[in-house]
Amino acid sequence: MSEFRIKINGRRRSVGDVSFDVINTCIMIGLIIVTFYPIWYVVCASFSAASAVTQNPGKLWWPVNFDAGAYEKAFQHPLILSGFRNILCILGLSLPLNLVMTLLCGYFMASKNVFFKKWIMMFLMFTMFFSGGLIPSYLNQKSLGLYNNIWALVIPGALSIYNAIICKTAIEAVPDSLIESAYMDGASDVTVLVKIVTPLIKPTLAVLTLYYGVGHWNGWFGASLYITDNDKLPIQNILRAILIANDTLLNQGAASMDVMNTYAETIKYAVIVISTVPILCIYPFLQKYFVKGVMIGAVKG
Amino acid sequence: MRGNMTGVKEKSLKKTLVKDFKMNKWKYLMILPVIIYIAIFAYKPMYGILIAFQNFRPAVGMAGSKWVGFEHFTRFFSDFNFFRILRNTFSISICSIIFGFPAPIILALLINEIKNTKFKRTVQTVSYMPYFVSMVVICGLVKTFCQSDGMITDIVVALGGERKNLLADKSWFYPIYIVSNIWQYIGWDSIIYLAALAGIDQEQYEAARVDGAGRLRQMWNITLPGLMPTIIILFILKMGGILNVGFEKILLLYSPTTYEVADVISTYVYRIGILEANFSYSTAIGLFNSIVNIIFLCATNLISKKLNETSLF
Amino acid sequence: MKKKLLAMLLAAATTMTVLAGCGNQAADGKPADEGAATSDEATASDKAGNNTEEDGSADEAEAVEAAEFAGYPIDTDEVLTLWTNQIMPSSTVASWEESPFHVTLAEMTGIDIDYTFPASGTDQKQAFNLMISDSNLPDMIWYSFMGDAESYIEDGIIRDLTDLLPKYAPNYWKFLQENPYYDKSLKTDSGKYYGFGFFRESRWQSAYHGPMVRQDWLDECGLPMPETIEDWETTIRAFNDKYGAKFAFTPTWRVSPGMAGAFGAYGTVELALYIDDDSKLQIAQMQDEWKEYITWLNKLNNEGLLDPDIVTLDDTGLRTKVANGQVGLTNANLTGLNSFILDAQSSGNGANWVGCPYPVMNKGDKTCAIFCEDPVVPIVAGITTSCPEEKVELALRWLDYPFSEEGFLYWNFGTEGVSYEMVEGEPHFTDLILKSELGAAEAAGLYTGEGGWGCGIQALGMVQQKLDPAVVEAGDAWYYGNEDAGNWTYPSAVTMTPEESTESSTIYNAINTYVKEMALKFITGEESLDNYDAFIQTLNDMGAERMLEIRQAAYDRFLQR
Repeated sequence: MSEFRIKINGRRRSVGDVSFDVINTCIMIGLIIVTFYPIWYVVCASFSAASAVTQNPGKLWWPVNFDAGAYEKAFQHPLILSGFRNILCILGLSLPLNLVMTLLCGYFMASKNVFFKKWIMMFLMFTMFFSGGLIPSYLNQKSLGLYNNIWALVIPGALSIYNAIICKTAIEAVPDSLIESAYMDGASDVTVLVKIVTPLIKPTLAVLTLYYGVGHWNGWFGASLYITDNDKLPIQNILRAILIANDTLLNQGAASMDVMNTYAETIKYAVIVISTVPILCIYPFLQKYFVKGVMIGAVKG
Repeated sequence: MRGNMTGVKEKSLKKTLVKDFKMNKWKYLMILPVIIYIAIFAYKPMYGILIAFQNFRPAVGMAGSKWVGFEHFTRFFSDFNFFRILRNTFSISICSIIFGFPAPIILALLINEIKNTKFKRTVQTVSYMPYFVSMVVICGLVKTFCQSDGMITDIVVALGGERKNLLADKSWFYPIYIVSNIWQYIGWDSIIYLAALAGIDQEQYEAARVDGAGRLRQMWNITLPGLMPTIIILFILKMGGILNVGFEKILLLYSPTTYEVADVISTYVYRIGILEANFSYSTAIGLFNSIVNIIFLCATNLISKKLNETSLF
Repeated sequence: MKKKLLAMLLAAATTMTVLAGCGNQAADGKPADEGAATSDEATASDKAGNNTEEDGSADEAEAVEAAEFAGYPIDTDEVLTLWTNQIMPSSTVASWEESPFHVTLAEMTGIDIDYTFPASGTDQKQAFNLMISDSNLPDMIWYSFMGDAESYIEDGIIRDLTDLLPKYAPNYWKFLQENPYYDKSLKTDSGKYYGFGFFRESRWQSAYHGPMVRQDWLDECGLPMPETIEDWETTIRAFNDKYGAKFAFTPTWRVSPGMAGAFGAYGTVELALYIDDDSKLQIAQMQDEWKEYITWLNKLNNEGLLDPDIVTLDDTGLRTKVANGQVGLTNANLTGLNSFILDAQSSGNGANWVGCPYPVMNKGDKTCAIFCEDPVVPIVAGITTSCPEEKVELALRWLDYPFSEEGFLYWNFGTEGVSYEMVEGEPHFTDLILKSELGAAEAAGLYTGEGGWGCGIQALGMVQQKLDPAVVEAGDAWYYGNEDAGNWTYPSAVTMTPEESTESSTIYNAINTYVKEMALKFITGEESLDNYDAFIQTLNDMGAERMLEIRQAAYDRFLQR
C-alpha cells in the first residue's frame, strides 16, 4: 500500500489513505442526510399550517402555508416562563451535586485494594435492578418533606449508579503510575481525586454532565408525582400539558365530544423544537472537551 | 491445630481490617455520603417489593392488603401467551444488541477519522439530534413511511417487493424496529465512545505510522483496544437489561397482525398492570425481569473476567 | 316557614321544567325520542318532565327537613378540600384561582373549595392511586372510582351517604328517585349510596360514533344515501372506480359495533361483550352473525375495496387519508367528522362530509346495534372519612348544587349575560364562547364545568351549540330511530369484588389480544375463515366461559339492586 504514494497539499499520502477518507466522507454525508431529513421535517411541520401537514404526510421540504400559530399557542401558555425558570433552577442545583456524587462513587469503585469494595459495589448495584416501586417511594419522599418543592426534584436524582460506573471506567484508564507517585508525594485521596483524576477524565465528565443535564431536562415523571402546584413544574411538564390539552386522543377528559383543536397536529412538532433547541445550544460548549490528547498533555505537564 | 489456625485467621482478618481502614480511611469517608443516600432513597422503600406477594390495594396500603404467596407468578407463568412474550422479548433484545450495540462504536471510529474539524462537529451534532425527537412523533413518521404508499414502501417496491403495509407484516417488524432504533440512538450512544477516544495516547499513532500501518490497521490495533474497557463495561450493562424492552415504542408500532412477533413483557405489563393499576401483578413481573437480568449480567461479567480481565466487579 | 317550603317546591318544579325544556328542544321534530326510551334507560329530561307533579307531595317529609336550608349562597367560612381530575382549569390560565368558572362557583355556592388537581400532563390514574395511598385524604374525592366504591366504603375510605342524601342533597335525591336506572347505578350491590354522578341529558350524547360519507361524491356518482349493505357495497365500489378511494376505519373498540348491526352482530375487531334479550352476557365474536359480518369485510378486502393500511390505522392516519381523498365512506366519531369538515374547508377540495345512517340488511330493517355508551359515566364524587362530621353537610350541599335549577344552568352554561343569554327560554352561548379565538371548547372550559365530564347533568344543547351543524345532523342520523339499539352495552356501574375483577380482567386481556389478532387476520385473509371453529375453541380454552360467568354474576347483582 505504502508503495503507491501521491502528493496532496504537500503531504505524501497513500492511495489507501485517500480512498479511506473519500469513502468515510461519503458515509458521513449519507448519514447526515438520513438523520437530518426527519429533523428537518419536524421543523418544517412546526411552521406549517395544520392542514398542509395532514395533506403531506412525511413529505415536507419547506414550511407549507407558513404558520407560526403552533408556537404562538405554546408560548401563550401562562406557565411557560415559570417552567423555564424552574428547570434552570433544577439544573443549577442538580448538576454540581450530580458530578460530586458521581465522582465520589466512581473513584471508590475504581480504587484497588479496598477490602469492602466488592460488598459496597454490590450494595450499590443491587439498586439498579430492584426498587421498592412507585407507592413506597412516594410515601418515603413525602415523609422526608421532599414534596411540592424544588428539592423533591433535585435530591432523589442526585446519583445514577449507571453513570457512576461509566465514571469508574474512565478513572480506571488513568495510569496507575500517576496516582502512585502522587501518594508518594504524600497526597491524600481527596487531593488525588481533585488534582489528578478529575482533570484527566474531563471528556467523560463532559459526557456525564450531558447525560445528567439531558436527563433532568427531559424528565417529567418525578415532577408529575411530587409537584402539585403548577407554577413549580419544570418546562417539560408544561409542554406535556400543552400536548395533552391539544390532543383529544390523549385528553380523556375531553370525552370525544369536544372539537379537535386546529393546532393539534402541528403543536406536537413545535413542542419538540422548543424543548430541543436549548440542549442543542449547549452541546458545542461540551464538544471541546472531546478533543484528542487531553490525557497526553496532562501526563506530560 | 485447627483452633490455632482459626485463631491465626481471625487475627489476620482483624489485622487486615485495621490496616484496610487505616489505608483507605479517606476512600471510605468519600463513599459514605453515597451509601447514606442510597440507603435512604433506594433501600428504605425497598419493602415495596413484597407487594408482589400480595393483592395490593393502594387505598388500604400494605398492612391491609391480602397476602397471596406466589399467585401472581403462577398466573404470569401460566398465562396463555407467556412463552410467546418471553420469546419475543429475547428475540427483540438480542437482535437489538447484535445490530444496535456495534453501530455507535463504528460511528465513533469513523467520526474519529474525520480530519476537517468543522465537518466533524457537524456530523456529531446532526447525528445526535434524533435522540431528542419524542417517540410518538418518530413512530408517527415510521408509520407514515411504511404504509402502503409510504416512502420506504416505495423503495421496497422499486427493489422488487410487493406493495403492502410493511408494519402490518410480521416479517418486517424486527427490521423496522431495529433500524429505527439505531437511527435514533446511534449519535447519542457514540458520545461516550468519543469521550473515551480522547483519552487514547497519541504517541501510539505516531509509532504505528512510522511502522507504516494504514488507517484501518491503526483503527484496529490502537483505537479499538483503547475503547475496549468502555465497550465491555457498556456491553455488560446492556446484558443486564436484556428483558428491558421498552413498551412505548412497541405499543406505538405494533398491530394485531404483528402481535405474534411483537408482543413483549413490557407491553403485556402495560395492558394488565398499568392500564388497570394492578400494582401487585406488575411488581411480580418486574421482579421476575430483574432476576433474569441479574443472571445475565453476572454471567456476562464472569465470562468477560475470564477472557480479558475487564469486569464490572 | 311555610313560605320557604313553597319556594323550595317551586324551585324544584322549575328545575324539572327547565330540564324537560332542554330535552324537548332536542326532540323537536323527532317524536321517536320520547316513545322509544325504555323505562330503565330513559333520558334524564323525559323522566323528569313526566314525574314533576306526582312527586311534589311524596317528597314533603324530606322537604320539611331540608327547608331549614336557606339556599345558595351559603354563609360559611369553612373551606372544603377536594381532589379531582375533573373541572381542571383551562390551560389558558395558570391556576384555578384565575379561572372564572371556579371563582364564580365559590360566589354562587358561598363555599370555598381548596382544589388539588393532578399537575398538568400527569397520568391521572397514577396520581389518584398515590393520593389514596396516603392516610391523610382530602374532604372530597371526585374520580372514576365507581367500580371500587363498595370496597372503599368497607375500607373506610369514603362515607356511606345513604342516610344523608335525602336530608342534605334534596335535588340530587329527587333526581335519583325519578330515574331508577341512575339510582341503581349510584348505589352499591348492598344498597349503599356512594356519591354524586355525572349524567348526560340525552343518550344522543353517548352515541358519538358512527358511519359518515362524502355527500359530494354521492352526488357526482348519482347515488342515493346508502341504506342497505348492498348499497354500501355499491357506494364503496363506485368510489373506488371513480376516485380510487377505499373503505377504511380505525380498528379500535369504538368501531364495535361498526357495521355489525346490519348482520345482527355486535362487535368488530376488539373483544365486545353484549347483553342479549334475555339479559345474558355474550361475546360478540362467538356469534354466527359475527362470522357473516367478518366474511363480508373479508370479501371487500379480497376485491381490493378495503384500505390496505387498515391494520395500523389510527385517528391521525384516517384523517390524513380522508384529507387526501383516499377514503369516501368511513366509521368514525363526531370529533373526527368535525376535523374532516375543517380540513375540507381549509384545503378547499370541496369534500362535503355528512353523517350516514347505520346500514341494514334489507330496506326498512333496523340495525340491532349502534355505538352508544352506557348513560352512566363512571365518574363519581364521594365524601371521605377524613372529612370532619361538621363539614359533611356543607360538602353535600356543594355537590348537590349542580343538580339544582340554578346550578344546572351555571355548570353547563356559566353566567347569564356573560357566557350565555336566555333566548326564548333556552340558554344559548354568547359570542364570547362561540366566536372565541381560543375555540369554543377551550373558551367554554373557562366558564363552564360540564364540557368533558363533570358533576350533575350535561345539557344536550350545551354540547350541540359547540359543534358544526353538519356534525349535529350526523349525530341525529345515528341516534334517532335507533334509541333501543344502544341497549346492548354492559353497564359501567356493574361492580366486581377485587378478586373477581383481577381474575376476569386477566382472562379478558388475553382474550382481547387474541380476538383482535384473529379478527384482523380473518379480514385481511391471512387466516382463513374456515378456521373459525378452531378460533371459538381457543376462546373457550382461554376461559371465556369463566369470564362471562364472573361478569354475569356481577351483572345479576346489579339488576337486583
